[in-house]
Amino acid sequence: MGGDIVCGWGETMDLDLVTFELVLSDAAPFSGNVCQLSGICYCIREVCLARKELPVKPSAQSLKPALWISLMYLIFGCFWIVFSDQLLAVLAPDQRSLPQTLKGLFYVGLTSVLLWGLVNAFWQHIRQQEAYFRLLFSENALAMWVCDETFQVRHVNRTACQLFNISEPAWMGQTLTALLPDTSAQLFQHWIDQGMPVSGVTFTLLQGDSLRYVHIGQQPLPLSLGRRHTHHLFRAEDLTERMQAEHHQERLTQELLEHNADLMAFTSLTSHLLRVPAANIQGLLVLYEQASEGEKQAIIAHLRTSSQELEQAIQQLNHIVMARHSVQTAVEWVHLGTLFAEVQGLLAEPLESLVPQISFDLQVPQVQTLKSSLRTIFYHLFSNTLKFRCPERPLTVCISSRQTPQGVEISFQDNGLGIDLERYSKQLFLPYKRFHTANYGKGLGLYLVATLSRFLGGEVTVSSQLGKGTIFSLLLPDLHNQHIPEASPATDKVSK
Amino acid sequence: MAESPLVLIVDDDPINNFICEKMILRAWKEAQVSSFTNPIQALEKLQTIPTASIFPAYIFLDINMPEMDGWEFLATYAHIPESVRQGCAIYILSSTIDPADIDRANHYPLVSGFVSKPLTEDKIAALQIPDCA
Repeated sequence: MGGDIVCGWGETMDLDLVTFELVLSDAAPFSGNVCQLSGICYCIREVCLARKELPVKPSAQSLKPALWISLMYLIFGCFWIVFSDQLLAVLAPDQRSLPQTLKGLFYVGLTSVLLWGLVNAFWQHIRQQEAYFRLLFSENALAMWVCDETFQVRHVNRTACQLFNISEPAWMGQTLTALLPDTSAQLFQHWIDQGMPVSGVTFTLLQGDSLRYVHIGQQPLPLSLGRRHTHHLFRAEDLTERMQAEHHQERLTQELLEHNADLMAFTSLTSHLLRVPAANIQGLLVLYEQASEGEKQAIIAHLRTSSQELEQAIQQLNHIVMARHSVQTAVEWVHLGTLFAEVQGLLAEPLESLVPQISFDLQVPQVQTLKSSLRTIFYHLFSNTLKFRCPERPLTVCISSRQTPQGVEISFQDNGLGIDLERYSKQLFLPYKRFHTANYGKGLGLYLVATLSRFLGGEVTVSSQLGKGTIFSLLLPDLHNQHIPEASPATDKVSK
Repeated sequence: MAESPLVLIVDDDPINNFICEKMILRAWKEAQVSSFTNPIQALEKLQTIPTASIFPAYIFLDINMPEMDGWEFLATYAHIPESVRQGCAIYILSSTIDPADIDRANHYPLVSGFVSKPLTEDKIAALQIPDCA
């Protein structure tokens, strides 16, 4: 016997669990007796049946080798019988017998059919193994490759070729370090030098414009494929989408936290805004009950003022709420000059008496943003300019826009009272902060400006000199870096 | 209660000051009430008072004010000699509903208590009036 056939079932006798292993140590199979062979045939047939769901069909081509082998055997066998009979006739003519010849020919015919069946079954089996290999390795969704002890690639699967964008022939006989870009190759080599810790290595891979995160793990393959050395099975996983999802999640959490903090601020703001006039109205009503005629008139006047304040407070709160819910509003091109003209229309009443000198220097005439939010920012910045003008000199306002590396910067410069930034810079954009006693306000305008700027993905900064004037600058990021509308996670990847 | 207590109101809201003046006069007919809408001016006035006898017996102080808030007012107020201000009770009079503000008012050493706006006769009556020297 030149080989062994090892056949084993799982304990349950479930045919799906049948394992079949064949070890051939030389090329001389099947010289044993028929009983033994038929038993083996049975095993093979069962295994083949159990695995018939695999996409292997016995095609004409797959039958060919079996046919060839048995035909060769048949021809050789028949030739041998005829030749040996002829030889016998020459050497010992009296011994020649036709039935003996026929018996020999029949035996050769019978065994050649058997041989055909066996070879065919083994051929099928090899095809099954190939199909398994294809499913498990070549077509696995996990990128895999097998290296020998010098880390030269021996096998590589399709996913690995796609992931690293290296063709299969290019892998063969190469080390991966030679195929990767510099930084990735160094990291990979370092990982190998460290003895390939189980945790694997994650590195970034730049493919075209997109950055991919690839995690590589390894396990030794103690196969003795004719060699004594251990091979390594590497598997690489593309973590890009998972990392993106994580980043997205982190950003959402951050946004939620900010939103929560904003909500807290908003709640306290609401209480202030509404509580002040409401408390006044309550107090005035209590006073009214026992008031003299003269007092009543004053009380009514105050009641009127308080109720107006209440109305204004509600409108302002509405502004803020609307600003917070304008997430769905579409981004559009906004012409800055036109928008400012709209704001001037809203402030027509104070403008009529003030007639400020307004100059424009719009190097960037239009920006892509949320119009309603930008309008509210303009409104509050401009109305602040009007409120905090210097009474001793005519008001001049300069509105400018320019492109900076960070985005478009829009500036409001005035020659008003100015702000004592040393004292107030920390509180300037907080709600319910007022810095001038001369002009009564709610302390909301700049809070709203800051909130909306943040919402637009930008920020507002201030520089001022007391008694000289103030410059408010609004930096709006270029839209492709911006968060509105919901940016696709791929566009804001951090680079390592 | 002192015969004719001096009462000072510091709040930037003139309507609140109007209400407070009227309410205090209803509660204490003899009271002399003055009010400031600017806390800095109020402090300047207090700093010029030389003796305890003509120092206000009560101060009603708002928290949210422009330029200087109630807490900043108190920090500066602490520099007035104790001999002058010892007879004065300060009440925080605010519309806040922020528990942190209320808590801070109740635990601030110089502050006698927290009163929620609007000030009414009932609330004045409920104040724990300390003994006046």
